Amino acid sequence: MENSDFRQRSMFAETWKRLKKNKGAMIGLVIVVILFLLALFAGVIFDYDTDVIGQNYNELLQEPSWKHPFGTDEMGRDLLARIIYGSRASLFISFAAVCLAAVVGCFFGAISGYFGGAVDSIIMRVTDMLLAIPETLFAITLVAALGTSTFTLIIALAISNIPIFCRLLRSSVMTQRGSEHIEAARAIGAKTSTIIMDHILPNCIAPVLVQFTLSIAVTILTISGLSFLGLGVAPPKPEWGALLSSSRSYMREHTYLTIFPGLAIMTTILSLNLLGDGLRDALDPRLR
Amino acid sequence: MSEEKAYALEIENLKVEYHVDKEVVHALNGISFKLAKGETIGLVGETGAGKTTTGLSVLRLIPSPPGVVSGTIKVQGEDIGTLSEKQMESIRGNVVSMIFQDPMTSLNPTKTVENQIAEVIRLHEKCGKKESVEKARTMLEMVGIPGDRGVEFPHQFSGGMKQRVVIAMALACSPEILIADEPTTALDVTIQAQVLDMIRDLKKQYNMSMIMITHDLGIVAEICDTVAIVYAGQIVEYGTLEDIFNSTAHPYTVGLFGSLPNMDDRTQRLKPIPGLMPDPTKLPQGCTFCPRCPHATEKCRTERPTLVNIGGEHQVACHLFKEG
Amino acid sequence: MLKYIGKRLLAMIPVVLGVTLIVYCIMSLAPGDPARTILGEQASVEQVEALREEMGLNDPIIVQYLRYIWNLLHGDFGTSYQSRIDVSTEIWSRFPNTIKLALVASLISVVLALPLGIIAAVKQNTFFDSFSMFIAIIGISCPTFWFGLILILVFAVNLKWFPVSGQVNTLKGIILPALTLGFNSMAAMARVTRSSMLEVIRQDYIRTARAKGVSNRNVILQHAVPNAMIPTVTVIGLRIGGLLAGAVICETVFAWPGIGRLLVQSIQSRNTPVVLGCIIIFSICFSLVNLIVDVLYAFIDPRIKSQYQ
Repeated sequence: MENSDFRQRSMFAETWKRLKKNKGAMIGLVIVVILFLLALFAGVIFDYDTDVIGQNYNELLQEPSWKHPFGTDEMGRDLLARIIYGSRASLFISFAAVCLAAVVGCFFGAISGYFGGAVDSIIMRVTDMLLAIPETLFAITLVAALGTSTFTLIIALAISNIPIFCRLLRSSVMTQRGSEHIEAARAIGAKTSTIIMDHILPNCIAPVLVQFTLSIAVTILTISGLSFLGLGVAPPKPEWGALLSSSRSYMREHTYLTIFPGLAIMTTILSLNLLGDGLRDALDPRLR
Repeated sequence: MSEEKAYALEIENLKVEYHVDKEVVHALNGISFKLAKGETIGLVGETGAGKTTTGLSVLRLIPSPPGVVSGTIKVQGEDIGTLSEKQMESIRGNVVSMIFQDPMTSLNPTKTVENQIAEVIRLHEKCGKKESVEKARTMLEMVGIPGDRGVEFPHQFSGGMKQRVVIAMALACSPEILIADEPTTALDVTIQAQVLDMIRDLKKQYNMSMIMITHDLGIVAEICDTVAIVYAGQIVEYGTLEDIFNSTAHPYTVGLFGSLPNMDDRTQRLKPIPGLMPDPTKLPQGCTFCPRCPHATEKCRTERPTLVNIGGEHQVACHLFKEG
Repeated sequence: MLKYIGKRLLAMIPVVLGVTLIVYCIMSLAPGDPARTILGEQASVEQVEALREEMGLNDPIIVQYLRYIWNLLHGDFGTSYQSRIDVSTEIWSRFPNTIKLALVASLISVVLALPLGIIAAVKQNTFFDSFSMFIAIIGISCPTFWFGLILILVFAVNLKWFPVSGQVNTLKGIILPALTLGFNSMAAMARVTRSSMLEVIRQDYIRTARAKGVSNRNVILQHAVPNAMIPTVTVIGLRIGGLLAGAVICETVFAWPGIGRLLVQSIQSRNTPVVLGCIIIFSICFSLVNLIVDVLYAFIDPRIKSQYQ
């Protein structure tokens, strides 16, 4: 066991070494970390009630300045504060949804891949059906039926992400199952649960991690799209898509209202994608 | 060495380096040999010795960058280093053909077998689509595959059949030089003999010169006229089949024979060569074989031996031997 | 070949049924009583109950679903609660607009993505490669609606080259919406084309082709590209499916009179039958696109084709 622990650790060290060489991935990682810290400490920098939702009629639609680096909106609220608080909604909902999806998806994927047979075909047919509804559309359906709430959003986005993780784990478990070290473990009489937990799952971490990063990116995009349509996070709570949606009326004269929230979304997604790509390359150098 | 022979291929001081990640991989370190018309030379050595690289150099298919090639290669007296890419294309598959090691992956999965053979015919001979396909089918028949199976795709063929297709493709334009890169390694033993016999017969029929790249001394004994033992990108011993088999000189060659089981005396233990081939990015300063050599001396560690003639055409690169 | 298409079509039926069932069940969770909505607040409980019975709302959900599917097969999507207008008329009058937009967007994205990905792979590690892959990663990171807004700002508001909102019947009117909708898919397709080309170029049969004397250009076009298309087509299919979902957002940005916009408007006005109809239409289209991809797959990959001959 000690030996395999050592092997695991050295695999991570090796991956990290390769990841460090990838400039794009490192830039992505740094930006993602900064965004996280900003979202976490948003309360220290800005006061939610006065800066984020408090209306200030003396400073309506101000152009960017030192006092308001990104300008103010039609109710005199600081755009920078709203964007930083907006990241909380996006990050929280997407993390919650993707974590849920990863846990549920991996569970069913592992079962499906390890046991095969009827269980496998049932699980696969269900994922087929879920995959036949695009993520945005599924979320729209659920929100249309149940109304907009953070909880509905998380459930809807989690459900649409389950099939990807399920398929991913299924296929890597299936390749693992046939491999020699599993045969060997079985030959020395290891229990099924031990085989899955100790021998199969550790080898599936890499692809799941990559998919996790990429799924977060797609989910943040979907959330902002839904909010843009008025089906996501409801105002006055700030959210990037919602900010963009309300900026449309002032787009001609006050372009900064449209540009900054969009840049915020793009930077986030870009960093996550760079990080995800980098991770994939680092974990599987053959693909490069 | 009295009369001037007509050479199909002359390789002079061929060096190939790959520049990867600030490191230089010395794949070939000055290989020279000549191949007379109609003769077969065997390039023998371990995996990674540079045999395939030599073959690819003759077709000028070393990817560049990262590959850097120096030295001269003359095909029928013409230096291919001076040719344009277009002229080179008319040599590949036409004057010089190559059979690759793994038939499983050497055929394009999305094209029918006959189209893949017909393609090379159309490239080098003036003929239409229909005519080339007909000729492709004749080629298939020649390697023992029914012509009407030409419409099938590679995945419908077995490994041995695929290698036959590859051979048919290589021979379709009756090349002067055939480079066979371990043509039987990936095949079952029973199929190996069939394919080998076929190559030998076809070679005779077409009067080709051939480079047989292999690590199997049995194949060498069966097919080759001359043999070059390659180690770490260098020829360490060169000679006729008799020279190599009956008056083995270089310690590495001796080691190769020692790694074969002796059928007459099965109580005798195998004598494998200890150690591994040196890292091609960090070749030793002296003889490349010195770290594994039982006879290594101080001179071997500091000075790299060159090929010296030790009788007839028999050459060896080892300090144990003196010219004569 | 026909057998293969038949098999895929048959396999599609349970998926479509499952999808519509899921969507139908979710939509039936919507709060509010349709009968009450139709009759208004003044109607008595008896009146509402009578209408519920008449509409079959008291039947088990599965019966209601089967009845819905049965009517759907006859082209009947039900009636809208508020306007009492036939939903089918509403959907079919908008449907061609969405199809038109999606087709132009797919065309733009495929036509741009394939050459971009192929050239980037062939010229790996050059400026062209880095540049086009930079554009591509921007493309997959950029929210559709924001890209649309920026296009409107630059090309419609400032340069005045194109109209601000989409015009269904003019070429000028469709360019910005289609670009917006296609950009994301284009980027994703270009990336996958490049990576599968890189994978293929390394294969032994490419070396074989070169050894035969095939010119560089033809090695790429005749040997590498057909093989690289196999994984690419899957992604193209998925992306065109995703394009349909993107249409919801894009149509809203450009006020494009398609089903995507109808869907959003109906959700806002709580017009459940129309919402249901729109989502079901989208799902069926998505499945159809996947079917087309599967069939296309068989054309380019002989390994699949020969299984059915």
